Amino acid sequence: MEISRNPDTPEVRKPFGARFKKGFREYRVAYLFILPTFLFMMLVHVLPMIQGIVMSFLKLNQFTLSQYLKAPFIGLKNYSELLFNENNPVRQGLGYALRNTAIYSVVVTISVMIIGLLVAILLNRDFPGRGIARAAMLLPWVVPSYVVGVLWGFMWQKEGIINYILVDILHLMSDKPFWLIGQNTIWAIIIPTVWRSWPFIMIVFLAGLQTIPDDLYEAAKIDGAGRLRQFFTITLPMLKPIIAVQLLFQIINNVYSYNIVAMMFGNGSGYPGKWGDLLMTALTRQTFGYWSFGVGAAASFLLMGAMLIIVGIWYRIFRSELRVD
Amino acid sequence: MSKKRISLVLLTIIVMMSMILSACGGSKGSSSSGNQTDKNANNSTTGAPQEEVTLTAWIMPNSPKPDKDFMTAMKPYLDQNPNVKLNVTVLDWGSAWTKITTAATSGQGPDILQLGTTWVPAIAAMNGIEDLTDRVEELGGQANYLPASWKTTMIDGSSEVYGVPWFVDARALFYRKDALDKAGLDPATAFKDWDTFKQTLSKLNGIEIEDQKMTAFGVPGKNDWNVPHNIFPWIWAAGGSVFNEDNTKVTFNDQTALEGVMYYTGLANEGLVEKASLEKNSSQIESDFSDGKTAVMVSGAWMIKNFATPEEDGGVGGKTAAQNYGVAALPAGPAGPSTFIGGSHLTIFKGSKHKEAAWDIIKYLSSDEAQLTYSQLSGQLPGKRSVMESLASDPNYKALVEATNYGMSYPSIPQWGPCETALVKYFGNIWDIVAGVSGTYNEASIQKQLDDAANEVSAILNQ
Amino acid sequence: MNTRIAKKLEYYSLNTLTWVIVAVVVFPIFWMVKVSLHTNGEILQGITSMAIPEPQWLNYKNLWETINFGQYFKNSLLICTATMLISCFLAILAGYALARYRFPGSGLFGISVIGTQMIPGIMFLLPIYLLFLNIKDTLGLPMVDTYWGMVLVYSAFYTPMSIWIIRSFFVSIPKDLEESARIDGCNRIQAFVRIILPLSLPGIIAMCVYIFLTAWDELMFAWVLTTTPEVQTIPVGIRLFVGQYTNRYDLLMSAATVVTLPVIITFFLSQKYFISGMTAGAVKG
Repeated sequence: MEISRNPDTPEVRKPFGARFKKGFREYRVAYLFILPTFLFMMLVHVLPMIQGIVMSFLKLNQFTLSQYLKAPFIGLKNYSELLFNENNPVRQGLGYALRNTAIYSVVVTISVMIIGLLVAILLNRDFPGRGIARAAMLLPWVVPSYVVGVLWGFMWQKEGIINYILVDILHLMSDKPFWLIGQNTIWAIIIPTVWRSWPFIMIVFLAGLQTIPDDLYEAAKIDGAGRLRQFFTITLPMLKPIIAVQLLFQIINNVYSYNIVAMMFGNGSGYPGKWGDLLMTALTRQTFGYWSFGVGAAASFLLMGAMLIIVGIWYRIFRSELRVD
Repeated sequence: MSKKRISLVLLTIIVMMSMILSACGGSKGSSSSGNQTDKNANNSTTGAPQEEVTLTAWIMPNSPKPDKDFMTAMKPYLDQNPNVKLNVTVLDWGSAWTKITTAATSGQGPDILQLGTTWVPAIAAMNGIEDLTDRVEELGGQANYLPASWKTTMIDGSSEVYGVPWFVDARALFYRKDALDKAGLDPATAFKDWDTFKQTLSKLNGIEIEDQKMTAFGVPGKNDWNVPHNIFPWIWAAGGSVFNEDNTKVTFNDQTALEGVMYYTGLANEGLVEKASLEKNSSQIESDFSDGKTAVMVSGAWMIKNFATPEEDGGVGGKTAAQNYGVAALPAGPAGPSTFIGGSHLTIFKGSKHKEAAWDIIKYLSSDEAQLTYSQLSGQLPGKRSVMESLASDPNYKALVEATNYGMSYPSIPQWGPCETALVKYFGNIWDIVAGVSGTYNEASIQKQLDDAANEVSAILNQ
Repeated sequence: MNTRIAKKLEYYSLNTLTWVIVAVVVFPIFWMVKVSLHTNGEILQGITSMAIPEPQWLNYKNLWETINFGQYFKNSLLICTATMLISCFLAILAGYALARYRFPGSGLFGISVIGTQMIPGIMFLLPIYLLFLNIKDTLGLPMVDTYWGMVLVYSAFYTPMSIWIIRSFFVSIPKDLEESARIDGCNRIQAFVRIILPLSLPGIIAMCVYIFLTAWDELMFAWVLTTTPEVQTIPVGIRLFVGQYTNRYDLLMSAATVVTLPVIITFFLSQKYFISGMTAGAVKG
């Protein structure tokens, strides 16, 4: 019964009927090929997601969780609690988390794209040791994110190596700042994330750069275009489809970022602070910490709605780039 | 494409899938679902079970080798009862809460469950653990345990008992004898009350031992996992309390409580605590103390064990501090001395199919012998009073054991878990203010954080 | 002449810049390995010197003995490898279907594949847990705390992105190749196996590396869906080194190194294929 609510099904089913009528034997293979994935998605994504949405209309706390979907139906109360009741415990601190997530996602996404692109251009030349440099740069991407959180947690200590380099070696600051408490926390989570994410983007850009035909640059040179102009008139437009796709995945990953922050502060149980708390860490803590599973579900549903809007905007901007085949 | 081909492909998929799945299934074995295996367990027997039985225990990382220490403590029992098999899962404090609540609501969990003292009421209220009221008499009941610890085996206002104290987490001052000597201070009077404590710290601040300059006091800040436990003893000593008598009104933001918070955080603000330590957690503070960077800190029994453990085994036995430390009770505030009492209780999971066997193991773990063994292995203070007091021949343990006499614990209410989650947040903000990275430090700004915390905690209480 | 000097200067300064970036990027990994060779006390004090007073190789022995880290490691390996194989298989099928057929619903399927990435994990964490319990109650098949339960969840999680990667790869292979093979008497399946698969091997390797790494990284579902050390993975186990009553930062860092190094080594061995796979596949986005 829940399956029929899934938006996919009627769309796929109708062509199933149409297929037999028109005798598209050819498509049978295609449907067969996507069938296992379709079933997996149904079981692990669609069905639980529908349950999650149903949960957001129920009074689900520590006492009713055992009844699960038979818990008392309370309509939109969870949503109104979340949006309009200033005293609801789950809501406390979500404002900070929202602000931090916004800063975090924007800064990480933009930095990763820019650094990735610039380094890709740097690597798209011939020089001795190019392969080694490229592989070495990819290393951070291989480090598990829970290790990243722990590792950078060490490095950010007041008497740790980063302050040592900044203050004692480079003399960039006169006093050793705090990184793991106070306002600097936002940097303490942004920088490791950028460190871990940019190499992948760089490789993708590098791949893209290698497909741009050299004649385009030759022609531009003959026209007297400088290198900066070549970049803006050739490189950037040619990379636009890649930029579009990577931008989308970066936004999704960063808004839903959890591991690094969770592991850096209190090993998953602490409070990352006013400037370190992200939506995912806050929601996990508040829903499980306060047993407000219904309100938590409502919050995640709203978050997903916000994400759909962002993706919608993204699609409007980049629609023309997405016709690939 | 022919039909034959399609069915061939389909067949290949199925064969491949089943191969992969069965390969995984095969290696899994029967060890996981311990609590479902034996359906013959007779629930009416008392004492050790006679038939084959496999039990599952969930414990926390109570010591650096959590599962091994637990199994070592259990070994005599398991040797005597070869028909009992015990599987142990170590949860970590971070995800344990999530896991235990989901387990409690779904009924799928272990047989024996270790719960932090503040969690017992919550899980009991969810009907996740067994009522042990009729059984605890076998262990001597209330008389055998610390009042502050026993209180947390029940929900405030009712008389059902849900757990048996396993070990006690009590906090006391650890100080450097050599530093006190050098400053001409007598340990017997130096930590008597808040005034002398502050004087002591001022005298100790900057003192040099082995050419190393010391800061007086080591205090962890926001990034600790004990944020509320660190602050509440000072609120209690000032005469403040968490809630009013019947747990209906928040009182930790009143004037007396504020005094306690201001005194404790004031030590940091006045330079008796190094600001850098406010970024650290307890482990780092303990390490600062062992390394002679601080002269005084607040810690617990595990530190005594750490000082007796050689460095190869992860302890700090070789350090100067290990030969020169003493333990004293926290200084008495305007309302007298106080300390935090936490620790863990052993409970029986409601969904367990082997409650008698589980109880037998809890009984064993509460015996003098097992209490002592586990205490020595884990470095935790035993939950049983007589065993705890038997440790007092060691002067360091003696001070700690005496400190437990004025120990306080949090209100034993089902909502305490969420309240603590909220407190961690606002007390964390207080430490940020003290560290000077978020607003100015004064009574008003601290009061504001306490009021905000009170608001959120009230909302949780009234939910 | 001047321009040649300028060119040379540019060449060398860009090279230097590249290596400086490499150094900055690799430094934290070097630091992790270095820190893992210190004693716990030294680590807690914050290390700032480049020297290692006395390499604590013993950390690498103790980490397996203090907690049962070997079991966690084995579980992670098994679960991630199985996930990789299943996801890879599913993604090749679906990716090929999406790349070669414009069947009714293919657009919608493609979009919902991407759509799955937009669901926040916390939204279906509890539902999956309860669904798994439900499966056990109704079908008698235990799902929570089993290898196959984890593999099922992970495969479903990482298949969509893999489809996305491999589909663009298939698209980039000219249809003519397949068609000429079919003229030679191959049917579609044979053409796929003989022509497409070998050509897309780098892409498949890239995809496998991607799946393995992401599964190796997963934290939240592993915390909730596993309950015994027989199934728990590294991110669950690694947290036992440090916490309320345990403070073995030395072992934590050696464990972090142990967890990272095999991945780095595998990655180095496969990076040639991985990079060419990304090059060929990711271009189309």
